[in-house]
Amino acid sequence: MRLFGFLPVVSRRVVVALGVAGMLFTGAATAQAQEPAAADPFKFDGANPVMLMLQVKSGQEAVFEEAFSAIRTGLSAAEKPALQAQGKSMNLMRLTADLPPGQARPYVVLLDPPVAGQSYDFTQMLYYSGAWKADDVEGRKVVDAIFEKLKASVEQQAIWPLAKK
Amino acid sequence: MSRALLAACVVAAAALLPAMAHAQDAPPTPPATGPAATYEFASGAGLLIFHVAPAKAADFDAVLARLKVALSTADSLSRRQQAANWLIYKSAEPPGESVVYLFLFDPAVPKASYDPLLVLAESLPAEAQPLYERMKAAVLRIERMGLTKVR
Repeated sequence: MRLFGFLPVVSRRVVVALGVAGMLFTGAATAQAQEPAAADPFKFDGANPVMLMLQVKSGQEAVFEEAFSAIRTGLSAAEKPALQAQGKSMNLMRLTADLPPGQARPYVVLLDPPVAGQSYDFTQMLYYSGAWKADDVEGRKVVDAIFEKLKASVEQQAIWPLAKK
Repeated sequence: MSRALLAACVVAAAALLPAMAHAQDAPPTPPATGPAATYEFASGAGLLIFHVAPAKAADFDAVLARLKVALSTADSLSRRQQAANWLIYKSAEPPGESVVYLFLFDPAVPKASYDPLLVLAESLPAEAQPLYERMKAAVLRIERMGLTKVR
Protein backbone atom coordinates (compact mmCIF):
# COMPACT_ATOMS: atom_id res chain seq x y z
CA MET A 1 0.00 0.00 0.00
CA ARG A 2 1.48 3.33 -1.00
CA LEU A 3 1.37 6.06 1.59
CA PHE A 4 0.92 9.77 1.45
CA GLY A 5 3.17 12.10 3.36
CA PHE A 6 1.78 13.94 6.32
CA LEU A 7 -0.53 16.79 5.39
CA PRO A 8 -0.43 19.37 8.16
CA VAL A 9 -3.59 21.12 6.98
CA VAL A 10 -6.19 18.76 8.32
CA SER A 11 -9.30 19.42 10.30
CA ARG A 12 -7.89 19.48 13.77
CA ARG A 13 -8.84 22.02 16.38
CA VAL A 14 -6.25 24.73 15.94
CA VAL A 15 -5.54 26.89 18.94
CA VAL A 16 -3.33 29.91 18.59
CA ALA A 17 -2.48 29.74 22.23
CA LEU A 18 0.69 31.75 22.43
CA GLY A 19 -0.69 34.88 20.81
CA VAL A 20 -3.68 34.82 23.10
CA ALA A 21 -1.51 33.86 26.02
CA GLY A 22 0.52 37.06 25.82
CA MET A 23 -2.61 39.12 26.24
CA LEU A 24 -3.96 36.81 28.89
CA PHE A 25 -0.86 37.20 30.93
CA THR A 26 -0.67 40.99 30.83
CA GLY A 27 -4.32 41.38 31.70
CA ALA A 28 -4.73 38.36 33.88
CA ALA A 29 -5.15 40.02 37.23
CA THR A 30 -7.89 42.43 36.19
CA ALA A 31 -9.65 39.92 33.98
CA GLN A 32 -9.79 37.35 36.77
CA ALA A 33 -11.15 39.89 39.22
CA GLN A 34 -13.96 40.97 36.93
CA GLU A 35 -15.27 37.86 35.25
CA PRO A 36 -14.87 34.10 35.32
CA ALA A 37 -11.99 32.88 33.18
CA ALA A 38 -12.81 31.21 29.88
CA ALA A 39 -12.40 27.45 29.82
CA ASP A 40 -8.80 26.46 29.20
CA PRO A 41 -8.72 24.27 26.06
CA PHE A 42 -5.41 22.78 27.22
CA LYS A 43 -6.90 21.41 30.44
CA PHE A 44 -8.18 17.84 30.20
CA ASP A 45 -10.09 15.47 32.46
CA GLY A 46 -7.43 12.78 32.22
CA ALA A 47 -9.90 10.11 31.17
CA ASN A 48 -8.89 10.02 27.51
CA PRO A 49 -5.68 10.45 25.56
CA VAL A 50 -4.97 13.69 23.74
CA MET A 51 -2.51 14.49 20.99
CA LEU A 52 -1.07 17.98 20.73
CA MET A 53 0.20 18.80 17.26
CA LEU A 54 2.55 21.72 16.96
CA GLN A 55 3.93 23.43 13.89
CA VAL A 56 7.39 24.87 14.51
CA LYS A 57 8.80 27.56 12.26
CA SER A 58 11.46 26.43 9.84
CA GLY A 59 14.92 26.95 11.31
CA GLN A 60 13.56 27.36 14.85
CA GLU A 61 13.44 23.67 15.72
CA ALA A 62 16.41 23.77 18.10
CA VAL A 63 15.01 26.85 19.85
CA PHE A 64 11.68 25.12 20.35
CA GLU A 65 13.24 21.89 21.58
CA GLU A 66 15.35 23.82 24.09
CA ALA A 67 12.26 25.56 25.44
CA PHE A 68 10.27 22.34 25.57
CA SER A 69 13.09 20.58 27.35
CA ALA A 70 13.31 23.40 29.89
CA ILE A 71 9.58 23.14 30.57
CA ARG A 72 9.72 19.40 30.99
CA THR A 73 12.72 19.68 33.30
CA GLY A 74 11.08 22.43 35.34
CA LEU A 75 7.86 20.52 35.78
CA SER A 76 9.67 17.32 36.69
CA ALA A 77 11.66 19.20 39.34
CA ALA A 78 8.59 20.85 40.87
CA GLU A 79 7.47 19.96 44.37
CA LYS A 80 3.85 19.20 43.49
CA PRO A 81 3.39 15.59 42.37
CA ALA A 82 0.81 16.68 39.78
CA LEU A 83 3.41 18.87 38.10
CA GLN A 84 5.99 16.10 38.18
CA ALA A 85 3.46 13.78 36.57
CA GLN A 86 2.67 16.41 33.99
CA GLY A 87 6.34 16.72 33.03
CA LYS A 88 6.57 12.97 32.72
CA SER A 89 3.46 12.82 30.52
CA MET A 90 4.86 15.13 27.84
CA ASN A 91 6.63 13.03 25.23
CA LEU A 92 7.77 15.08 22.28
CA MET A 93 8.30 13.60 18.81
CA ARG A 94 9.52 15.37 15.69
CA LEU A 95 8.58 14.60 12.08
CA THR A 96 11.73 13.27 10.44
CA ALA A 97 10.82 13.83 6.78
CA ASP A 98 12.63 16.39 4.65
CA LEU A 99 10.35 19.36 4.16
CA PRO A 100 10.30 22.02 1.47
CA PRO A 101 12.33 25.10 2.46
CA GLY A 102 10.43 27.39 4.79
CA GLN A 103 7.75 24.86 5.72
CA ALA A 104 6.96 24.53 9.41
CA ARG A 105 7.94 21.23 10.98
CA PRO A 106 5.22 19.22 12.74
CA TYR A 107 5.84 17.95 16.26
CA VAL A 108 3.61 15.60 18.20
CA VAL A 109 3.07 15.40 21.94
CA LEU A 110 1.04 12.37 22.94
CA LEU A 111 -0.60 12.70 26.34
CA ASP A 112 -1.77 9.23 27.25
CA PRO A 113 -3.24 10.11 29.58
CA PRO A 114 -2.93 13.82 30.31
CA VAL A 115 -2.77 14.75 33.98
CA ALA A 116 -6.30 15.71 35.01
CA GLY A 117 -6.85 19.37 35.72
CA GLN A 118 -3.34 20.50 34.77
CA SER A 119 -3.13 22.99 31.92
CA TYR A 120 -0.82 22.10 29.03
CA ASP A 121 -0.90 25.69 27.83
CA PHE A 122 2.70 26.91 27.77
CA THR A 123 1.80 30.21 29.39
CA GLN A 124 -0.16 28.54 32.16
CA MET A 125 2.62 26.07 32.82
CA LEU A 126 5.33 28.71 32.92
CA TYR A 127 3.63 31.56 34.73
CA TYR A 128 0.81 30.08 36.78
CA SER A 129 1.54 26.45 37.60
CA GLY A 130 3.92 27.22 40.44
CA ALA A 131 6.69 25.13 38.95
CA TRP A 132 8.73 28.31 38.45
CA LYS A 133 8.97 31.33 40.71
CA ALA A 134 7.45 33.66 38.15
CA ASP A 135 6.77 36.34 40.76
CA ASP A 136 10.44 36.51 41.76
CA VAL A 137 12.67 38.87 39.70
CA GLU A 138 15.31 36.27 38.87
CA GLY A 139 12.76 33.50 38.44
CA ARG A 140 10.76 35.71 36.12
CA LYS A 141 13.81 36.22 33.90
CA VAL A 142 14.15 32.47 33.49
CA VAL A 143 10.49 32.05 32.66
CA ASP A 144 10.49 34.97 30.24
CA ALA A 145 13.49 33.54 28.41
CA ILE A 146 11.69 30.22 27.90
CA PHE A 147 8.52 31.98 26.82
CA GLU A 148 10.41 34.11 24.30
CA LYS A 149 11.83 30.95 22.72
CA LEU A 150 8.35 29.54 22.37
CA LYS A 151 7.04 32.77 20.90
CA ALA A 152 9.86 32.76 18.38
CA SER A 153 9.38 29.16 17.33
CA VAL A 154 5.78 27.96 17.64
CA GLU A 155 3.66 28.77 14.63
CA GLN A 156 0.53 26.84 15.48
CA GLN A 157 -0.87 24.42 18.01
CA ALA A 158 -3.74 22.01 17.63
CA ILE A 159 -5.49 19.82 20.15
CA TRP A 160 -6.62 16.40 19.05
CA PRO A 161 -8.85 14.56 21.54
CA LEU A 162 -8.61 10.80 21.10
CA ALA A 163 -10.25 7.61 22.25
CA LYS A 164 -8.30 4.43 22.81
CA LYS A 165 -9.28 1.56 20.55
CA MET B 1 -2.31 -20.63 -1.91
CA SER B 2 0.84 -20.37 0.16
CA ARG B 3 1.02 -17.84 2.94
CA ALA B 4 3.85 -15.94 1.24
CA LEU B 5 2.02 -15.80 -2.07
CA LEU B 6 -1.17 -14.63 -0.42
CA ALA B 7 0.72 -11.94 1.42
CA ALA B 8 2.31 -10.83 -1.83
CA CYS B 9 -1.10 -10.72 -3.52
CA VAL B 10 -2.60 -8.70 -0.72
CA VAL B 11 0.27 -6.26 -0.74
CA ALA B 12 0.18 -5.97 -4.52
CA ALA B 13 -3.55 -5.42 -4.52
CA ALA B 14 -3.28 -2.94 -1.71
CA ALA B 15 -0.81 -0.91 -3.70
CA LEU B 16 -3.77 0.16 -5.81
CA LEU B 17 -5.63 1.53 -2.82
CA PRO B 18 -4.20 5.02 -2.57
CA ALA B 19 -4.76 5.68 -6.25
CA MET B 20 -8.35 4.50 -6.01
CA ALA B 21 -8.96 6.41 -2.82
CA HIS B 22 -7.34 9.45 -4.34
CA ALA B 23 -9.68 9.31 -7.30
CA GLN B 24 -12.65 9.55 -4.93
CA ASP B 25 -11.09 12.26 -2.80
CA ALA B 26 -11.70 15.91 -3.60
CA PRO B 27 -8.45 17.52 -2.40
CA PRO B 28 -5.48 16.50 -4.53
CA THR B 29 -2.38 15.32 -2.75
CA PRO B 30 0.87 16.98 -3.75
CA PRO B 31 3.30 14.63 -5.49
CA ALA B 32 5.59 12.86 -3.12
CA THR B 33 9.19 14.01 -3.05
CA GLY B 34 12.17 11.88 -2.16
CA PRO B 35 12.05 8.11 -1.68
CA ALA B 36 8.71 6.33 -1.56
CA ALA B 37 7.21 6.13 1.91
CA THR B 38 7.12 2.70 3.43
CA TYR B 39 5.55 1.00 6.40
CA GLU B 40 8.92 0.80 8.10
CA PHE B 41 10.00 3.41 10.63
CA ALA B 42 13.75 3.55 10.80
CA SER B 43 13.55 6.81 12.75
CA GLY B 44 12.47 4.91 15.86
CA ALA B 45 8.80 5.88 16.01
CA GLY B 46 5.97 6.42 13.60
CA LEU B 47 2.39 7.42 13.08
CA LEU B 48 -0.11 6.25 10.48
CA ILE B 49 -3.26 8.33 10.09
CA PHE B 50 -6.18 6.53 8.46
CA HIS B 51 -9.00 8.65 7.07
CA VAL B 52 -12.04 6.39 6.96
CA ALA B 53 -15.39 7.00 5.27
CA PRO B 54 -17.90 7.66 8.09
CA ALA B 55 -20.39 5.19 6.63
CA LYS B 56 -17.71 2.48 6.67
CA ALA B 57 -16.29 3.11 10.15
CA ALA B 58 -17.93 -0.03 11.51
CA ASP B 59 -16.20 -2.06 8.80
CA PHE B 60 -12.87 -0.50 9.69
CA ASP B 61 -13.52 -1.26 13.38
CA ALA B 62 -14.13 -4.88 12.41
CA VAL B 63 -10.82 -5.02 10.55
CA LEU B 64 -9.08 -3.49 13.57
CA ALA B 65 -10.55 -6.15 15.81
CA ARG B 66 -9.04 -8.84 13.57
CA LEU B 67 -5.76 -6.95 13.39
CA LYS B 68 -5.55 -7.04 17.18
CA VAL B 69 -6.13 -10.78 17.08
CA ALA B 70 -3.48 -11.14 14.38
CA LEU B 71 -0.98 -9.18 16.43
CA SER B 72 -1.70 -11.00 19.66
CA THR B 73 -1.41 -14.43 18.07
CA ALA B 74 1.60 -13.74 15.86
CA ASP B 75 4.29 -16.39 15.94
CA SER B 76 7.35 -14.26 15.40
CA LEU B 77 9.15 -12.43 18.17
CA SER B 78 9.40 -9.35 15.98
CA ARG B 79 5.63 -9.18 15.52
CA ARG B 80 5.09 -9.62 19.25
CA GLN B 81 7.52 -6.76 19.90
CA GLN B 82 5.59 -4.66 17.43
CA ALA B 83 2.29 -5.56 19.06
CA ALA B 84 3.53 -4.39 22.46
CA ASN B 85 3.99 -0.81 21.23
CA TRP B 86 1.34 -0.64 18.52
CA LEU B 87 -1.16 1.87 19.90
CA ILE B 88 -4.48 2.44 18.17
CA TYR B 89 -6.60 5.55 18.70
CA LYS B 90 -9.69 7.05 17.15
CA SER B 91 -10.30 10.76 16.93
CA ALA B 92 -12.89 11.81 19.50
CA GLU B 93 -13.90 14.80 17.41
CA PRO B 94 -17.18 14.60 15.54
CA PRO B 95 -16.44 13.10 12.11
CA GLY B 96 -16.35 15.46 9.17
CA GLU B 97 -15.56 14.08 5.76
CA SER B 98 -13.80 11.19 7.45
CA VAL B 99 -13.38 9.37 10.72
CA VAL B 100 -9.74 9.48 11.72
CA TYR B 101 -7.83 6.58 13.26
CA LEU B 102 -4.23 6.71 14.42
CA PHE B 103 -1.69 3.93 14.67
CA LEU B 104 1.22 5.06 16.81
CA PHE B 105 4.39 2.98 17.04
CA ASP B 106 6.55 4.11 19.93
CA PRO B 107 9.11 2.74 19.84
CA ALA B 108 8.97 1.17 16.38
CA VAL B 109 10.85 -2.05 15.77
CA PRO B 110 13.56 -1.21 13.21
CA LYS B 111 13.16 -2.82 9.78
CA ALA B 112 9.77 -4.31 10.71
CA SER B 113 6.83 -3.55 8.44
CA TYR B 114 3.79 -1.97 10.07
CA ASP B 115 1.58 -2.70 7.07
CA PRO B 116 -1.65 -3.94 8.69
CA LEU B 117 -2.55 -5.97 5.62
CA LEU B 118 0.74 -7.80 5.76
CA VAL B 119 0.19 -8.63 9.43
CA LEU B 120 -3.30 -9.93 8.63
CA ALA B 121 -2.03 -11.99 5.71
CA GLU B 122 0.66 -13.58 7.86
CA SER B 123 -1.48 -14.44 10.86
CA LEU B 124 -4.96 -14.84 9.43
CA PRO B 125 -4.37 -15.88 5.81
CA ALA B 126 -7.85 -17.26 5.25
CA GLU B 127 -9.39 -13.91 6.21
CA ALA B 128 -6.86 -11.63 4.59
CA GLN B 129 -8.60 -11.08 1.27
CA PRO B 130 -12.07 -10.26 2.64
CA LEU B 131 -10.49 -8.03 5.29
CA TYR B 132 -8.51 -6.28 2.58
CA GLU B 133 -11.73 -5.72 0.60
CA ARG B 134 -13.42 -4.18 3.63
CA MET B 135 -10.43 -1.99 4.35
CA LYS B 136 -10.16 -0.88 0.74
CA ALA B 137 -13.79 0.16 0.75
CA ALA B 138 -13.44 2.03 4.03
CA VAL B 139 -10.13 3.90 3.80
CA LEU B 140 -10.06 7.19 1.94
CA ARG B 141 -6.46 8.11 2.59
CA ILE B 142 -3.50 7.14 4.75
CA GLU B 143 -0.88 9.59 5.94
CA ARG B 144 2.50 8.57 7.27
CA MET B 145 4.71 10.36 9.76
CA GLY B 146 8.15 9.01 10.52
CA LEU B 147 8.97 10.38 13.96
CA THR B 148 12.00 10.83 16.15
CA LYS B 149 11.64 10.99 19.89
CA VAL B 150 13.05 14.30 21.12
CA ARG B 151 12.91 13.41 24.78
